[in-house]
Amino acid sequence: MKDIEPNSLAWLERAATWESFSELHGFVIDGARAARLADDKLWKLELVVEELVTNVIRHGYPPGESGVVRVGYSANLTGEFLVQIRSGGLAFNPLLKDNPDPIVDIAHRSVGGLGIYLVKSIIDEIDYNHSEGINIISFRIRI
Amino acid sequence: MIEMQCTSKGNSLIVSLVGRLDAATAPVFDRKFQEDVISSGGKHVVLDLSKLVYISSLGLASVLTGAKAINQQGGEFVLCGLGGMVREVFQMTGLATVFKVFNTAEAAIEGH
Repeated sequence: MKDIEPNSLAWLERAATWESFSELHGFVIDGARAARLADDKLWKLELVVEELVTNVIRHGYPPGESGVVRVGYSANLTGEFLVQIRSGGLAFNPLLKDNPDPIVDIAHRSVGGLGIYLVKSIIDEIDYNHSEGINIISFRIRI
Repeated sequence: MIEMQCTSKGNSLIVSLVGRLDAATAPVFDRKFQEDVISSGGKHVVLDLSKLVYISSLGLASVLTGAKAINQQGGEFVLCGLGGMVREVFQMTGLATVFKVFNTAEAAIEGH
């Protein structure tokens, strides 16, 4: 997916903070609704965008360091909805994160680590690149 | 948006969620659950998700954290009413087998 031309996407950039989350998330989801993404795919897109954006907010920048996150989307003519998420900070590929533990005992089950696992479960093809100090995650979903 | 309604039935406390449990609403749920359920000493808690339309990993973490707190104070925490994407997300993450899950709140109370 390195062929995605940034100028072909609609973009929104905000501070990588919890206050920005709803606006960033809503920007992409409104775009998907306008592109008439099917309902059974819309919730999957909502979930994937939420997990990736919150991952940047939580882990994208070192404590005390502020930064931004950019979300972009495009509905192309071949019936695909493209999404790209860009952030600064250190090079970090969240897709390499280990899967959550399979423990079924509530007391010992970890409460974290499920977000990226959900992303990988839902999206077949998702790319991570680090270029010129920018972390870039790209994926597409058929409309 | 998330709404939480609590109804006592016998020894059970039915906690119904309406709306979305995501990054924006999980902190609201955490606070309300602490105030209205954990602090009240709920012993048999049924979390009814039949009117929950969306849940993300942060929502799942909130549910798991709430369940741990109830269990730690000697209570029991069960789920009911999983449907649509909520059911799929619980199944995808394996959490459907971590919790005791019932179809309805009535079945959850009877199963207690």
